[in-house]
Amino acid sequence: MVPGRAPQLAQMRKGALEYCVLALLKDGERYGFELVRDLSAAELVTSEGTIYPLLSRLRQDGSVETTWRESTQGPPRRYYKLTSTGKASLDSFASEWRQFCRAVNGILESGGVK
Amino acid sequence: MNDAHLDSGLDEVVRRYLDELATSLKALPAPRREQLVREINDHIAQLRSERPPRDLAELEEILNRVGLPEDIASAALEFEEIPSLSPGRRRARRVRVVISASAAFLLFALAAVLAQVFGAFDSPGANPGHQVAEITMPNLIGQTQPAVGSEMALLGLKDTIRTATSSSVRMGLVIVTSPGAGSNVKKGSTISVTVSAGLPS
Repeated sequence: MVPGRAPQLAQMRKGALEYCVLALLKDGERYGFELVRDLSAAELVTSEGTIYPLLSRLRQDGSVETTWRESTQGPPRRYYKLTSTGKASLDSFASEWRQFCRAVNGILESGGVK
Repeated sequence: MNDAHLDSGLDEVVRRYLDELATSLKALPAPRREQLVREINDHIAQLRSERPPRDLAELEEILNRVGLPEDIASAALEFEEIPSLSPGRRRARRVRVVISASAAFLLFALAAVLAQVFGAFDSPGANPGHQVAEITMPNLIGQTQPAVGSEMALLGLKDTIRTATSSSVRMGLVIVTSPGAGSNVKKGSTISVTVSAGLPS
């Protein structure tokens, strides 16, 4: 549960977070609460409440769209779904991220790119 | 403390947490602020229903997971491109939020227990011989009964609850107090609180 101490790591975690949200929606729509639970369980966030502002921004920039569904228990639930814009930005992030990780890992492990 | 008292005490702590959040979000446009507070409220309700907290410590675990109001506020304000609070101020507030939430709960719990155990006795003033402090009655009209209970406990007042039907005030909310808002009352005195029992039949 202890997040990285380095402020740079916190920034990177924050930057990657929105793509993790998009990735969780790859296989279909999800209930907002479940999304937050998954990100929290993966230790990507320590304060679950901070994800809601991010979800709100993703709605605004058109990466996700939402539908309200009645629930058998409690208030209606907001379900999130990836849009084509969201899918495109996830795909481009994923390929750049993999390349970035390979480069960083190469240097961390052997002191030089293989 | 029975379940009803525990639940209303915990509800009160959650209410204060959400108030704190709404205050931290003052810079946000009202509709965005209300929406976020509602989302956090639903999130807490969901966590509470999955594993109902049995005491304040367990509720605090839930609230810790949800995060400090200032952290949620800085995440929200970041997207609005409004500068957030400086780290130094945040640390100071972190302590204050925890202390005020715990203090409110403890006072509330204490008041509930005292009311049950010593209900029949009218205990003498805490400082006999000393000047008794005077308190200005706050306006409690329209508040819920548990909220008033904890407010009274915080102020060092006792309350007796009466009910009356009302066509204008929703059931469970305070219609009037006696003495009323703005009156000076002695610490430890008993305030009569009239709560709405709903529409007259």
